[in-house]
Amino acid sequence: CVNDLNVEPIDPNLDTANRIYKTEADLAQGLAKMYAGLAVTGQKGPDGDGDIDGIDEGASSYWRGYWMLQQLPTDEVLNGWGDPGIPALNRVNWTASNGMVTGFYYRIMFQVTLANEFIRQANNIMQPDWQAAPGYVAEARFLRAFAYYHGLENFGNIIPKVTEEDGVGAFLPPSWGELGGDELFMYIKGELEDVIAGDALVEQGAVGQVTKDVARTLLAKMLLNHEVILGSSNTAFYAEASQLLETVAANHSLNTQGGVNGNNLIGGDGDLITVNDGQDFSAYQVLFMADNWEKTNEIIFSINYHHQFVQTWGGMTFLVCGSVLGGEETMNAAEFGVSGGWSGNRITKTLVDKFDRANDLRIAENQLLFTKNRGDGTITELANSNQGYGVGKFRNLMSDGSWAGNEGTNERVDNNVPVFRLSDVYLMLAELDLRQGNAVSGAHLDMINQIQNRAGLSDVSAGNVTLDWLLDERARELYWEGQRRMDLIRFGKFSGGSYVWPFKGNTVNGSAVDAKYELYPIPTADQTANPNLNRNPNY
Amino acid sequence: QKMITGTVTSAEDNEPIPGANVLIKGTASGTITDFNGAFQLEAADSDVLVVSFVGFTPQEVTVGSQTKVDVQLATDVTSLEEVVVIGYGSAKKEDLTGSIQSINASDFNQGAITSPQELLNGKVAGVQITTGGGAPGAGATIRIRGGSSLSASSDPLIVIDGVPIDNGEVSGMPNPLSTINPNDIETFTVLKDASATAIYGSRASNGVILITTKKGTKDFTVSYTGNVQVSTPMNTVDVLNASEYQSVVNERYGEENRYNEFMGIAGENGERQMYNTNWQDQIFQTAVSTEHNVAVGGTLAEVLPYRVSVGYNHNEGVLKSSSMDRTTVGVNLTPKFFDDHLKVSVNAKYSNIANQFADAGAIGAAVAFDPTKPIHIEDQKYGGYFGWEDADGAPNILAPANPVALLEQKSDKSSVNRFIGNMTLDYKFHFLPDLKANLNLGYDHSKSDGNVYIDPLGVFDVESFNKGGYHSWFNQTKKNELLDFYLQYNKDISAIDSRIEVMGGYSWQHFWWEKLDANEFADGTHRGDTDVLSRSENYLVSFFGRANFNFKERLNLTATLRQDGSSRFVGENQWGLFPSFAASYNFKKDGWLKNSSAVSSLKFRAGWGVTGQQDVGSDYPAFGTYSRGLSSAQYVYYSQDGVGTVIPVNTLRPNAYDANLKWETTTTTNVAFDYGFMDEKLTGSVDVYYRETTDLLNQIPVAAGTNFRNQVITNVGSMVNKGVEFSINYRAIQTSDFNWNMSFNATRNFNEITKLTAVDDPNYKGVLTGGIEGPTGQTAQIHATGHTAYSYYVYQQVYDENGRPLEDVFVDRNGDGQINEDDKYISDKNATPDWMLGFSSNMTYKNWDFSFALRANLGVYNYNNVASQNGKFTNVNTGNTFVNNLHRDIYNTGFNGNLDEDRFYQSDYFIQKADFLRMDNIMVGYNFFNVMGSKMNARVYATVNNAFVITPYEGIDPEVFGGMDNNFYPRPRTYLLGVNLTF
Repeated sequence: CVNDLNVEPIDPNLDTANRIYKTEADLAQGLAKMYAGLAVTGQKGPDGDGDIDGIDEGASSYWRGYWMLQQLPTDEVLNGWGDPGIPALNRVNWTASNGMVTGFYYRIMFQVTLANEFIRQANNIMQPDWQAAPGYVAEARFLRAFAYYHGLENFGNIIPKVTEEDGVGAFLPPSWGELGGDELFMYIKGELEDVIAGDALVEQGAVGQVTKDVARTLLAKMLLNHEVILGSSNTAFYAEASQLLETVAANHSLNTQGGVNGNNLIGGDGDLITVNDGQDFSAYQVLFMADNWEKTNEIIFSINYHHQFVQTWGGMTFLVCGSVLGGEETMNAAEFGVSGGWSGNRITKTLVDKFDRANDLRIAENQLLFTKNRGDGTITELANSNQGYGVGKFRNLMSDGSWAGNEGTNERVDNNVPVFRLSDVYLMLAELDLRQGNAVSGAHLDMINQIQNRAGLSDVSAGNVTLDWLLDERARELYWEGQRRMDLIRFGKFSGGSYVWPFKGNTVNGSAVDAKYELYPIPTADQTANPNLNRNPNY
Repeated sequence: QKMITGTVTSAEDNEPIPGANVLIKGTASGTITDFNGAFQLEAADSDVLVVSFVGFTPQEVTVGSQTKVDVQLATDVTSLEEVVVIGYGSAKKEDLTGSIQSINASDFNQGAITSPQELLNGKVAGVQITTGGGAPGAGATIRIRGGSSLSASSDPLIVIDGVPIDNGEVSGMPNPLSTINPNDIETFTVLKDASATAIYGSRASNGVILITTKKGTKDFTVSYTGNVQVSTPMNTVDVLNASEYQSVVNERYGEENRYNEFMGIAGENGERQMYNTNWQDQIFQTAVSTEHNVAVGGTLAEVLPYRVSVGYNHNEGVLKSSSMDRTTVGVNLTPKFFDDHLKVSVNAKYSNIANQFADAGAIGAAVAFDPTKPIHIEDQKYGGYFGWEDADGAPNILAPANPVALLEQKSDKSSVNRFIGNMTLDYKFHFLPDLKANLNLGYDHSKSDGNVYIDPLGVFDVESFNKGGYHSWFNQTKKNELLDFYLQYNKDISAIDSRIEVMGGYSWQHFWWEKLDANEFADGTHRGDTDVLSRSENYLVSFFGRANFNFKERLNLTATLRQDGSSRFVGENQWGLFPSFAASYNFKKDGWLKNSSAVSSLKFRAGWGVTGQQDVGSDYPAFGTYSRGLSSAQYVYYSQDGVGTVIPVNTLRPNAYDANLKWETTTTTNVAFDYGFMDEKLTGSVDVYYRETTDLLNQIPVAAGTNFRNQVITNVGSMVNKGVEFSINYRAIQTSDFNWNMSFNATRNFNEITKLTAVDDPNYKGVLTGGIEGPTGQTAQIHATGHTAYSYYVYQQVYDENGRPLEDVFVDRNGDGQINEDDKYISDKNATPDWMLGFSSNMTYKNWDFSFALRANLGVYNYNNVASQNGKFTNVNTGNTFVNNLHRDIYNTGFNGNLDEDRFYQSDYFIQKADFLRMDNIMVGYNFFNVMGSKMNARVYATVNNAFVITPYEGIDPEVFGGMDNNFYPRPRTYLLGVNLTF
């Protein structure tokens, strides 16, 4: 009877590693968890068996957390919710106890830990004749580099160093190095160069799968940001970035196909509703709609969603529902393909004013910008959701105007989150020209004008393409896509007082902030758990 | 046969005793004395009369040649001779070395009691019982001496007739104990200190409650108890009525404000038509409940004592549509064989409970709902109920539900069948009567299922409404199997005037459960996943022993040892060793005190012991396991071929674990005096205890990157509970006509977390807990080193000179010029009471009896989440197409709520004093003896439960376990009229 104490799990959904990993198909499921770690928040959709503790499960979503950290402390968006940490992000006055910062930190380290375990297990059971498994390992290495890069750009070189060499359990990992050191940067660079050079990673895969172009884009992005990360400039890095992006650009093309608004939808109330006041969806707009899986010409990497199989309160559901402002006839949830809005994200007046509102399709009134009953869009009280304009960039409808999979009955969506998009690549290429001391090249100017023309705007000349113009253009083209914080930092506009926006520096009109905010602090919880971590000295 | 007459009087004052039993021994025939204490009956010379009355020592008289038998009954001072059940055996109360308190049926709380734990509330020092609210059969949280665990369960172990039950929830049954009929319970024995509990080893850290049920009697008896109860809601949340609401809104936003457009409903001429609906009145009701119990007991063929009971209880809640119907059957057989060498005890308890749950969300919705709205409207779109809509006429997902619709358009029913049975064989060896063997086989089995239906027009669940209705269901089976075996050896060693008792045994217990959850919308789709099967088990294997040594009836020494093995741990950590030692000394037996008339008893007890806790929720916390993702949490790829075929892939997640996980251990030291004065007129105890939990099972952040989760349950930290308990029983008056007993107990417990994490870091405040309703993810409490568990962790509110709180103005406690998380502080106002007091009084006068029980908590504070959620103008200015009512606190604060929402909720303004004095029950009863000359005795009584509460707290009820007050199902006041008949 004493032997009864040695048990194995009897739950159909629970097992031990040695019983669970046998075939390549098993490995595919382990790998899928790393992808799912970007999309959902646990093993049960939309919630109920979460991965991360100490934070509301929906808010623990990778992309929701990343987005909050990249967007809220910038000139693009304000969110009035009371989740612990959100107001401080808006105000750029967070501390090392900030709930959102802590949640995201643990989410990226969770991804790293998953990858380490997966690579260990895969190496253990790998058979010489397996075809797919080496690719899975390469994808896992990319996904680890992806998480590590987000760790690097948000927290710096002082985050914990764990690889597949480390085990599981009670040990205290060291920091990668001192703040501003290049250890993690070089590790990520090495990993990405490795998978780009090897043959395990595919050049073209299913939509959502990591390909070599995805790895090239991530590496180029890190190289573009190297000055900010390392604190010193190395022109070779810029040259390498340009080279990588040329390859990506050659493999892709900008989407120019818009959507046809042929269908009239039936809303939740049974009445016919007309989408978009009878207008079509622009080629820009459809990139963010429920059938954007089609746009692989432009979308290089996406986090995929599905109303039934990939359910969450984070990710794209957050972007769609969280941006639909409830009531006051501002935005109609059914026209965004969901059963209701959460009245969260509102655009700053600063960003609205960057657009040529009359002509720029990227902010088309009542398609992408919603102003009704909302005055001039100024926000003076964070939690007053009557203030500020709405943005309908993320819309869970098919590009022909028909319902997506949920038929508007709930808050589960089908749109994929575009992580890397070709117009970003184009803009980076132009920026790299300038950063290498050159004028923008003809080919790159042509790329920029493709973007301009798609937005309904006329060509710009090479002389117009300055760094300042590029920073603003990146805001117009890539707003609310999780790019803004690093862009502002790279252009020297994030900290200090040379450029301010509402609520920056804890004032309604904006004021200067300390340079320490260019990095988030290692959360107090992990500093306590792991005394090896060098505390970010500025916090 | 001849006629015998006589009187029964009290030896103390010679007063006659009416109602005393006079029975012919060995038969069921007898009589009862009249008002003058006189009786007459027919008896033979050889008969023995047994004369008894409550509170007196029974006396036997052989008839012989007498025809007049006068009997004087002595006051019963033999409570010290009482036998008390302890773990794996029983002991004379006099010999106890541990802190053990036994409560018998006669001391139970009276009146409308649906759950066993309510019988005990306020009766035992050191035991805090907090019911979860007024719902029928609601659960209760029991804490003995403050609870010694944080992440592991702090619930005491509950043992029913020798079967340790699984404390985990039975699905469909919020309170696992409510499957037991309170009327079948004979005694509760609460084991508080380690000397008493350590025999239960790894489950004993939070105390043990032993429940024994009533057994068969020698004589044939039939009893019936029945009652009818009327419950009324005591209190409602103070919100504005329609006219107050309109004027407050007009004052704040001007007469021409846009919020008026959302009030009322559109009249025929486009005018707004205003109603005045008190939503709380609409969801609460006066509830009528009834209860019937019949018990038959006796001895079959002189060898088989039996008791069979059947109970039925229909309990209605004051929240409309909530009810519980319980049917219980209990059978106890206690035959003895081979000259009493083999005692067999068979206990079987079956219950069927049909629950109908009301959606408690209706309570919060009724507080918040716009009072200018009608319940019903003509439009049948939502089944004739008013429901909030978006500007475009679609259901509004952010608006509160129509509370009445929520109760009437949603059905949530469950049915629970539970069987708890055990058979005990207690054998005294023929060749060595000092040696006994005891075998106990137990089985606890429950099967439950439940169904939730949402009306297709119920708009409070928008997805269900959009999909034509919703049905979810579950079924669950739980099994708990037990085998205990022990040998016990007792020996009087008269040579040295001593007695020894040695016991040693083995126990095996297996807990297993399986559950299926399913759901479906009317269109065939599902919410999340459906048909999800889960299953788990754990085993506990133990060896235990106890030795008692008694010297000259005055010195008692006890040592216990238990070795427990749990399947929750691995390797050598599977086994834990839990010892205890205790001693007691009875001074009364010493010469110097022997003849004292003032001091009738005096005993000193001291004990030390180690207990454990292993219930961390998960059955596999020390294993490297993988979880398969459900189909709703997969990842999808889309095919690249332009068709976009969806390719879903299931996921595998490695789960966090701590391979070195082991028991947490609590070391308890207890020192006590038991005393009695004036012939035991005044008795009581004083206990002082110190309990330190080390290797505290605690969910704490672990170094990122080292495990598959950021927080892992691990053995780290320590916590101290120390305190003092007083209990006093006073027989104020004891005459044959008039008796008055009082008892009082008081408890002061101090709790402090002394270590929380592996490394002490002053920057690390602690583990946040105490979730706030309203915003997402906010908390108001913390577990922090140097503070009480569940301390409030909040911003310090600043007030103006009139004492009015200034919105979003807080004390900059770290003086850095800005207000952020670093300015939060740990309040010294605690969610657990400093003092818990209980007082009960019991009076009988002739045929009348009168009793009451009072209970008080002092030095306790709640977070008033109802006020923080509703006492702000963003309830009106929602930025949406609906408006909500306001808490009356708005008059005191004028809070807008549209500044930073995280700080708003975490103001210490909402930490409010929640001391209370509650009259738990008042009862008056009248006894009829020998009704109409028959053998039937009858008793009629009336009680009021929860008669009143005196409190400074402004919320609906100050007594909220954990202090976070929101959406609380209020405890009703219940009037009960009952009758007991015995034949």
